[in-house]
Amino acid sequence: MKYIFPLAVVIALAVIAWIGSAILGLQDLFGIVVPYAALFLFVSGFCWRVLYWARSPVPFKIPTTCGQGYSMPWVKRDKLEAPVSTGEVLGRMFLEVFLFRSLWRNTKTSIKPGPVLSYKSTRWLWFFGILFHYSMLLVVLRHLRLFLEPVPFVISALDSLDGVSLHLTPELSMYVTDALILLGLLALLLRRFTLRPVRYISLANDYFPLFLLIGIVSSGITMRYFLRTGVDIVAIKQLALGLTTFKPVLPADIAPIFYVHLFLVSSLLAYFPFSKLMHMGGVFLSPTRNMANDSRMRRYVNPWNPDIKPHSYASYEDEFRADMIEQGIPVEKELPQG
Amino acid sequence: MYDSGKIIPGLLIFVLLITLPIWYNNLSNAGQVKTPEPPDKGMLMGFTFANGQEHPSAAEMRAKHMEHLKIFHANAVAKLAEQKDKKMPTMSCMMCHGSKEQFCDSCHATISEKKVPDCWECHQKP
Ligand code: HEM
Repeated sequence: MKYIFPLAVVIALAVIAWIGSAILGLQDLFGIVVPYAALFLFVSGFCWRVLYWARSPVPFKIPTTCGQGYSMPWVKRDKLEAPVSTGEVLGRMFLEVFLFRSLWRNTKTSIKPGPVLSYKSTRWLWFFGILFHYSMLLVVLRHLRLFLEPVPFVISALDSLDGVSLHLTPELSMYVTDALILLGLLALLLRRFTLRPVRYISLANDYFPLFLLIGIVSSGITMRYFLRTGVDIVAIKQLALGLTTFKPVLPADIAPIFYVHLFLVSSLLAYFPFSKLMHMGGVFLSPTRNMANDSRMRRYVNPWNPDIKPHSYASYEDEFRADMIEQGIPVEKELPQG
Repeated sequence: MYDSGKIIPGLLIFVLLITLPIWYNNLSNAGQVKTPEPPDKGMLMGFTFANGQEHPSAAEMRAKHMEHLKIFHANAVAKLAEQKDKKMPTMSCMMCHGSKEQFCDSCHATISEKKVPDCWECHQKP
């Protein structure tokens, strides 16, 4: 039942934007003030969060090693799972960030009759995760056509590539990533609903981003393919460009569905820095991933260690010799005569 | 702060990417989009098609011209199939909207709309 509240919040956000723009005439609030505030919260919150993390020391060298580390020359080692140099760490980080490599290693534990304990690799999470993230990346990049003037060639090229195979008739002309992002999101949601262990650990703030993204995507798709009335893209681009050049203009008669879309996006931006979505920045700062497994080659010093000078027995005796002799403790060197 | 030599540049790159539209548009001096010319009101006013239907408003056409074109196209194809002489119908949008550059491309280029159907595979570009 932990999904009821976040679902209700997303529906409420959509209803607020609809009523605000269609009935109360608050277009300038939802079209100008809220997007600016959301962008400000997103950028400043993101920086604050990363700088906050950067201020935490890492006391120990804690890379996760999932393969043979560097040892004897004849032992074949795993450069990506136990990297020892900066280059190898960069390779590992690249695969983590771009291919979600640690999800690829996901295993499912079960007990078969016998009883036999079995581990099977399952890659559904990896698959739908990749599907969702890359579709989202493409959708956001394609949106730049609404935000950049003139539209750079790469952006319009993406637009033509995305959906070229379905481009035979006007009825079928659609973006492939629209279907894929929705598929990815619904599968990720279904995973939280159906797998019992995952359902048990799912909290409201796991469901909220999923519902919010589903809301954004479905309002976008509705706007593009179904509720076209009042969705004049040239006017919307005017609004977007006005926002980016700090001379906001508010074209009249943009449909409420657009304000719903924009308000949900603004909510996402504002929520982002304070949520688990910060894994976007956090993945780069994970010590278990970004440290080299070289603790047997280079000494790692805990950055908060106090500066303790070595204190040999000889200097200890030098310091306390008089007291030691007075107490009758044997000393190696007598007090100087005189 | 630890590793500031790596974290600060990384964060800076991120902020630059996120604010791309802001500095890009201000540097390119694009400022405002060129609003396409408002369609000549006099021309649209009271225009009715041969079948007695009124021409939809400009706002309606901007948002939903594809739906109109789809129906228009389907009707024309059906009519052509009925006709004995197979003479191409001459009634067309292009009789008034005589220029692709002016009526199609001015908006399509501004928003870089690439999902255009294959009208121009058969119809001549005016
Ligand atoms: C997290 C960010 C966003 C996501 C995931 C998203 C998602 C989508 C999706 C999936 C569509 C369907 C059509 C397509 O794929 O192009 C769409 C359409 C649309 N979105 Fe967004 N959107 C986002 C941000 C924005 C913003 C900030 C604006 C403000 C201008 C915006 C304005 C539009 C418009 C005008 C359409 C209709 C496009 C058309 O009819 O050609 N979106 N959106």
